[in-house]
Amino acid sequence: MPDSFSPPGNVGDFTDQQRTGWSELIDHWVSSRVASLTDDNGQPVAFFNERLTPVPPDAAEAAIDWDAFPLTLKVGYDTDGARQESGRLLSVAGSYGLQRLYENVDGTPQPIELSYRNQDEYCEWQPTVDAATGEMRRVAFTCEGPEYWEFIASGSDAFRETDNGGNETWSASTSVAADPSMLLDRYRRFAGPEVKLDDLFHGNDIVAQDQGRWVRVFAKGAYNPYNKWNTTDGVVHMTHPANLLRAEIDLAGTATVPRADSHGQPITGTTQFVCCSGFGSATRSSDPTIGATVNSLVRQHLSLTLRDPVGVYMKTINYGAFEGPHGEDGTAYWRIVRGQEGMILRAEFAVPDGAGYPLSAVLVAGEPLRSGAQVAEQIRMSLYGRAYDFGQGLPPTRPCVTHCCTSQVNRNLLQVLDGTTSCDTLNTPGETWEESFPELTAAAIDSLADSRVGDTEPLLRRPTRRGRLV
Amino acid sequence: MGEPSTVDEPLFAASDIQGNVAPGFATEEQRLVGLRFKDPADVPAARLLLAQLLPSVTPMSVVFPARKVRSAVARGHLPVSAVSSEVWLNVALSADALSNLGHDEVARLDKAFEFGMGARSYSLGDPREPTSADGSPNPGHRANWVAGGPGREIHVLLTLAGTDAAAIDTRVGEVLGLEGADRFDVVLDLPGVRRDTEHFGFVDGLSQPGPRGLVPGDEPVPLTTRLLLDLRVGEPELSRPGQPLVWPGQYLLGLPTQLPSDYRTAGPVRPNLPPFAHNGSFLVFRRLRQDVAAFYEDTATLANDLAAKPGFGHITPELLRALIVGRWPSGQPVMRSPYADQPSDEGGREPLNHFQFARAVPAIDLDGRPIAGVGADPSGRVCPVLAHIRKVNPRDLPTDQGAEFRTLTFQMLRRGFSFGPPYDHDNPSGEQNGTERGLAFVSYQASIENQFEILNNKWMNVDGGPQTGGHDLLVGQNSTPGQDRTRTGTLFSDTGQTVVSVMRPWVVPTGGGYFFAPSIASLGALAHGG
Repeated sequence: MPDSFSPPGNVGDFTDQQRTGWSELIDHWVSSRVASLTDDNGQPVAFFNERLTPVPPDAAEAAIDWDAFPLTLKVGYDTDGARQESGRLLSVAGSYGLQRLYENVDGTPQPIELSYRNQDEYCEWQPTVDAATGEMRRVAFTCEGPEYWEFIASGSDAFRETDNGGNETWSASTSVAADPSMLLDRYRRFAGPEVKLDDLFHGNDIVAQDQGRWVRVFAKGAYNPYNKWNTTDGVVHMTHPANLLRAEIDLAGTATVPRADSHGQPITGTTQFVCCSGFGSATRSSDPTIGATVNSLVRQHLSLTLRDPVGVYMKTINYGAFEGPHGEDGTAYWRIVRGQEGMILRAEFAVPDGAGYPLSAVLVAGEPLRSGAQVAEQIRMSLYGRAYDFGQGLPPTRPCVTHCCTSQVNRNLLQVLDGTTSCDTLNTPGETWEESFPELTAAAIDSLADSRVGDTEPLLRRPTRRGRLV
Repeated sequence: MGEPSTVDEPLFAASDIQGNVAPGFATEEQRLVGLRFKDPADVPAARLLLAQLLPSVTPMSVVFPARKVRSAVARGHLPVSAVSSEVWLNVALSADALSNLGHDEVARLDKAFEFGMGARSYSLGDPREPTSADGSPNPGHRANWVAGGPGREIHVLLTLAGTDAAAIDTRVGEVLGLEGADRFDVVLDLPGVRRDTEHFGFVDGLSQPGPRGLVPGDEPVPLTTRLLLDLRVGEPELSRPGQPLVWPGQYLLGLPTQLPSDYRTAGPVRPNLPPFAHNGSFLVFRRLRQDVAAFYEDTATLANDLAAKPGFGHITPELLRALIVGRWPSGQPVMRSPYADQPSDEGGREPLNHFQFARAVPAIDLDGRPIAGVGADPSGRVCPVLAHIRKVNPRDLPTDQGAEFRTLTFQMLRRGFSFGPPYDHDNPSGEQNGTERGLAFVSYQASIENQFEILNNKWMNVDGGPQTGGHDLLVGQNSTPGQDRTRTGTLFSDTGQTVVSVMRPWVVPTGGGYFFAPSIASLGALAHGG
C-alpha cells in the first residue's frame, strides 16, 4: 500500500513539497472517480484507491498494452497516409468547437494559431530537423501528461475545482507554488537552450467568439501547453486533448461498471462496451483495450486500481526493427531520457555522434527512415494496475449511457454520442449515420441517473476554462 | 441452426483466382520451388517463364470441385479412382520481380511486401548474429538462410501439389526444362507432405477462418461449407464451431472486407486498388526448422523443475507441452480437456474447436450430434496466455490491438506443410533424426503488414500481446537486448502462479519471402507485357 502517490516513472524533478502536492492531486482524482461510482445503496464498487484501501502485497498486477501509433489513423488511411496524418498539427480552437482563437492585445483581437498533435494513443512524438540541411536529426517521444507540467508551471492552484457558480469545491491542502525555474530548466533540457520563460506562458488573454460573444479561452499568464517548444519546435509533454493522465484514471474507473444491453444481457463485446459506457473513442486502440480488459477483470469479481506511480508508459520497443546502413544494431540509437525500461516516459531516437551516417540512412523494418511515425510503429504502451478480490461480488449492472453511430459512407467510422443525442444529428447531405448496435439502446438510456459515471470530460477542456465573458 | 445466409456475398471469379489461395490445394504431396533470375532485370526471361507456366496455373474453378470429390471419396461416397492425379500449380512473385515487370503499384499496397522478408528479418525477431556461439553459421540469420537471404532472394515461387510425389517430380523436371531455364537458378526446392500431425506431434491446421463468398456454377455454392450456428447478434457468424465467417476481402484484394460493428454485412472494398491487384493475394512463406529433440528435452526438464514447485506437482512433460501448444497431440484443446488428452466421444473435428476464451460456449447440437459447452477462461488459468493457439488466435478476447473483431481481420488462410522425415522417438540417435525437418509456413492474406506481421511481431514475439502473460514459447522469438532470446511466460495452478522460461529455440526460421499471387488474368498480362 503506498503512503503517497509518486510522480510518473518515479522521476526525480520534485521537491518534497511538490511530491506531497502531486500525491494529493492523484489521490483526489482516484478518490473522485471512486466516489462518482458510489451510490447511496451501499452497492459494491470495483474501483478503489489503494492508499485508502489496503490490499496484500501479492495482489495481482495487471499490465494492459496497446500500440503507440494511432489506430484511428491506421484504419482510416493506408500506411503512408496514416504516417502523414500523424505528423499533422490540429487546431486547438477546433477541439473546443470554436472557429478561431485570438490574442487579446490591448482590446484588439489578433489571430493566433494554437495546435496539438494528431497522436491520440498516449504517446506523442516530434522529429527535430536541422534547419540548414533539412535532415532529420532525432525523434523524441513522450507519454507525459500535460497535468504534470501544468503542476510545475502553475502549482497546485491550477487544479482548484469550482462548481458552475464559481464556488470552490476542491483544493489541495498542501499549497504548492509555481516553479518557473524548474519548468524552464526542464524545457531547455528537452527542447533546447533557446527556450525563454515567456515562451511558455500566454502573454495575453486568448479569446474567441462563441455564439456572438467573446469568451476567454486561456488567461494571460497561464501556462501554455501548446507553446512552440511543445508543438512546432519540440515535444516536452503530450498535447492531444485525449492524452490526459486524469482521463486514464477516469477511464479505468468507469470501465469497472458492468453494463447490460436493452435485453438485460451483460455487454462483453469490446466495441459495444465502449459505445455503451461513456468513455473514450471506439476506434482508438487504448480506450477499448483498457476498458474491456478492466471490465473483464471486474466480471471475474476483481476490484481494480492503477498501480503507483500512476502513469502511462512506453513499455517495449521492437529494437530488432532498427538497423544501420551497414547492418549495425539499431539498439544504440535509443536513449531513455526519463523513466526506465518498461516504464519509459521520454525516449529519444538518434544516430550516435560520430556514426558517420545520417538518421535518414537508418532502416526501420527494412525501410529507410523518413518520418517519426515509422519509429512510433515499433513502440508499445502500457498502464499498470492492481487487482484484488475483496469478496464483495459483482457491482450492479447498469444500462448504457452512450451509444455509437456508424457512417453509411465509411462503415469503419464509429462515433460515440451521449444517450439523448440521435444518430440523425450527425447526418449531412452526403452522409447518413445509423445506430451501430441497436440492441444496446432499444430500452431507455439512463443518461441522467448515470451522468456522473459517464462524465470523463478532460480537465483542460472543462467549461470553466472557456466560459467567462471578456 | 439456420439457413445459410449468403445474401450479398460476392460471387468469386473462380477461373481468375489461383486455387491455393481459395479453397487451398490441401493435397497430401506439396512442393515449393523458388526461382531466381540470374539477371534480376532480365524481363524477357521472366515473361517467357510466365507465358509457359500460365496454361497450367490451377484456378479455384478447378480446385473447388476437385476438393468436393475428395471429400466424397473420404466419406466413401465415391471410389478412390475419382480423385484426379493431376499436378496443380500456383505462381507468386516477389516485389522486385513485379517491379521489373512494370508493376510496382502492388508494392505500394504493402510496406512489408515492398521491402521483403529478408530486409525485415530482424524486425520479425530473427537473430542479428550471423554466427552461433560455437562459431558455426547461425541458421536463423538471413545471411545463412537456405533461400530468401541476400543473394538468394526468390523472384518466383511455385507451389506444386498433387496426390503423387512422382508426378510432381516430373512436373518440376518439365519446369526446369522450359525454354529460357538457363536464365534462372533454382534457389529453393522444398518437397513436403501435408499431414494432420506436424513434427512436434500435434494435430495441426484445425483452426482456419471461413471466407464468405460463392463459387459460381449452375447453383452458386458457398466456398465455405456452412454448418451454421446461430449465436447472438454482435458475435461472429460461424460456419462450424470455432470457424468464423470472414468477408473475403481479408484474403483477396478487390472484394468486401470485414466491418467493425457488424459481422454480417459486407464492408467496403479496399479503395484505390490498381486493377492489376484485383483477385490477387499476398503470400508469406517462412521455412521453419523444427528441433524436435530440443522441444522434448527442454519440456521434460522444465516439467521436472515445475513439478517440484508448490502447486505444480501435477505437471508432466505431456501436460506442459499441451499448455505450450494449447492443444493435446490429438488436437483436443486444453480448454475442453485441461488435464489429459482425453479423446472426445462426440466424434469428428468440430468439438475440437468449440471453445472461446472470453465467454463460455453453450452445448450445441450439430446435425444431431451433441457437443458439450465449455466455460470461459479470460485470464488464462486453464489455457495459459502463452499457449500458441491463444497467442495467434485469441478468438473473442479483447486484445492490445483493440476490439475482438480486429482479431478476425488478422487471421490468414494457412496453406503450410511439413518437410523432412518424421522424428523417430524410438531411436533418438538414428540416422533419420539427423535430417532436417520442419514446417513450410505458407499463408495468404490481403495485407502482410496487418495480418502476418501483427501476429508475428505484436503477439508471438512479445509478452504483452494479445494479452499480458508471456511470449509464444513454441514459435515466438525474443530479440529484446540483454534477454538472451529467452522466451518467458506465466503458468497458473489452483494455488499460485510461476514464470517459466525457455532459452533454446525450438523453431528456427531458415528462409522465406513475401510474395504476391496475382489473378490469372494479371499473370497473363505479366506474361504478355501488359
